[in-house]
Amino acid sequence: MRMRIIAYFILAVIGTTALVASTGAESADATVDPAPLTLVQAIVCEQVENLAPKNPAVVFPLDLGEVACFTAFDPVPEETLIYHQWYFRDEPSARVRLRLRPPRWSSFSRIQLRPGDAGPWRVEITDVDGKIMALRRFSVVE
Amino acid sequence: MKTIAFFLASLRWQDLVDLLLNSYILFRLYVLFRGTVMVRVLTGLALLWIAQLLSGRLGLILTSWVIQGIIAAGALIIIIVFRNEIRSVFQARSLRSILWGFPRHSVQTPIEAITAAVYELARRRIGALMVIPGEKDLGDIFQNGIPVDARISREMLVSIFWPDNPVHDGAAVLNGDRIAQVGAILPLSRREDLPSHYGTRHRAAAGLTEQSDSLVIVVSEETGRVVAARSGRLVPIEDNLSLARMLAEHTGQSAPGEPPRDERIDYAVAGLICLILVVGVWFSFSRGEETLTSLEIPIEYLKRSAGMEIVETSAGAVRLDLSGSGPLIRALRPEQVKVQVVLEKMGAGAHSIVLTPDMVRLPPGIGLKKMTPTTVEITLDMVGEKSLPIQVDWVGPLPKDLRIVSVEVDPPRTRVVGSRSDLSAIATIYTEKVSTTGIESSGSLAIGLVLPEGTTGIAPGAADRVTVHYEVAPPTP
Repeated sequence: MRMRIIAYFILAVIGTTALVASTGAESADATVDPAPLTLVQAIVCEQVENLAPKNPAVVFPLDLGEVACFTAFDPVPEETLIYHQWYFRDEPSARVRLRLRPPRWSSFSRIQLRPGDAGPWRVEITDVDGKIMALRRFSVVE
Repeated sequence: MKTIAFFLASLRWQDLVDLLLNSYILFRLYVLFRGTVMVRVLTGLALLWIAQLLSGRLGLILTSWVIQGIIAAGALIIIIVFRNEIRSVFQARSLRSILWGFPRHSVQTPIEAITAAVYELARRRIGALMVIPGEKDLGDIFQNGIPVDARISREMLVSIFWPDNPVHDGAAVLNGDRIAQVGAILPLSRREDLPSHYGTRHRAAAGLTEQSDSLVIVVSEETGRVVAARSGRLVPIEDNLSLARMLAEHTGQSAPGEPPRDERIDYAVAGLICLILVVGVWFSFSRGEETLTSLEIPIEYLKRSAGMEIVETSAGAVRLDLSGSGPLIRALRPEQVKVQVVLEKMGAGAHSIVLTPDMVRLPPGIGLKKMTPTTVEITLDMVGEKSLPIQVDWVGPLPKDLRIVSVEVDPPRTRVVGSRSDLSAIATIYTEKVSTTGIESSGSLAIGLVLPEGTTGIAPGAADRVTVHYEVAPPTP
């Protein structure tokens, strides 16, 4: 009888240890998340050619006709959306939705310049939750 | 009642001084010329002036002009005719008595002594001629008497006219309680209608009273009858009581047996009349004609809660239609008028305030007729501070071969103060305009900041100027 109790106790200790060990292994698996969405490049430029920004600057002439904002993300852990929000003198002017796909993605938006658009601008790059990932300021001059 | 209350409330201290000073001047003139003909003439002129005002109001243009002319001529005539009285008043008195003092109680003419002397002379058939001057100066009419300056008494008067007295033929001039002159030769009347039994004394009495307001008493040497002359008329006096009454009336005294007049009451009544007159004149001048004017007055907001800011108002000023007398309206300056709205205990948010007359501060004598607008909308907000990024406000033109590729602002942020609701809508503070003209290479420049609308200023200690570092590059081919 006494031998049987000792055997049960040993079995219970072994069982508990195994259970704790398996729980710890699951926790370790949960902390190993994929790298978050990361913005590696945000450039305001005259135009985008072959998925590369051309003539980045902070002052653009109005007669250029358009201004582009080029953004590159690496990594892109999952398919998601980002926004390019354009502001003219603190007033919202345009909001462009862009889709990103794993594992990395580049995208751009552009605005057409019209008479009266001369002045200070900014473009905010925000994630799907509205969090500002980057902000670029530039001016359009006559 | 309301009008009277408004009138009293609108009195300025200057008005009170005005009224009291002019009442006192008028009262002093009365005191100085009291008992003279001038007072009566001036009263007549005052009545004429009132008549002129009334005729003017009634539209009687010609009457008004005529009365105006009479008043103007009358004023001139008074000065000429009464020059002696005016001179004697101002020459005989000290400055103190002109400005402040009251003339001593008038000297009482001893009527009983004169009456007794006259009837004793009459009983004894002794001729006598006594002059009791009125208000008019006799210096211009005769100057040939012998000055005596003796106190009047029955015995003295009888002795003056006693036969064989060297001066018994002339007239005795009785002034107050004194015998001023004796042996005076009076001008004779040239009238043809005097009764034949009247002699030289009667003709002299008539002659003097034709030219003056004196009373002359004549005792006939032949008949012993007593005759009084006044205004050129000779009136037989039947008894001593009639003579006493006439003397009392002439000297302005109470007749023997009548109670004496109290001069203090006279002065009090005169003072009151002067005050009423001046108030009337002042009222007709300063209140008679109501004048209207309009002023645009900025609203002053008082007692805002600590940290509270006025963000917006529907009206910064109100238009006030004001009324008052012409002189007061003409003297009115906009800075004397205030419109004050108390914002005590008002919290943040929009408020509608009804403007009431008690919010308008006006000088005395000015009334509020209308206020536009009657309601003002006001929005209050707490004052806050916000840190803002600074962005360069570039202006062109941009040279074709030039590209500004980067800009750095030092410091990159500053703090501004303003209402919290306004600050929440502001995300950027811009520099003053920076021209790209003339930029050929990378460099830096110092520039001020432009305060955004809704902010009240840069926070204490925060940057109000920045340095802009810029980098240029040629365009990519």
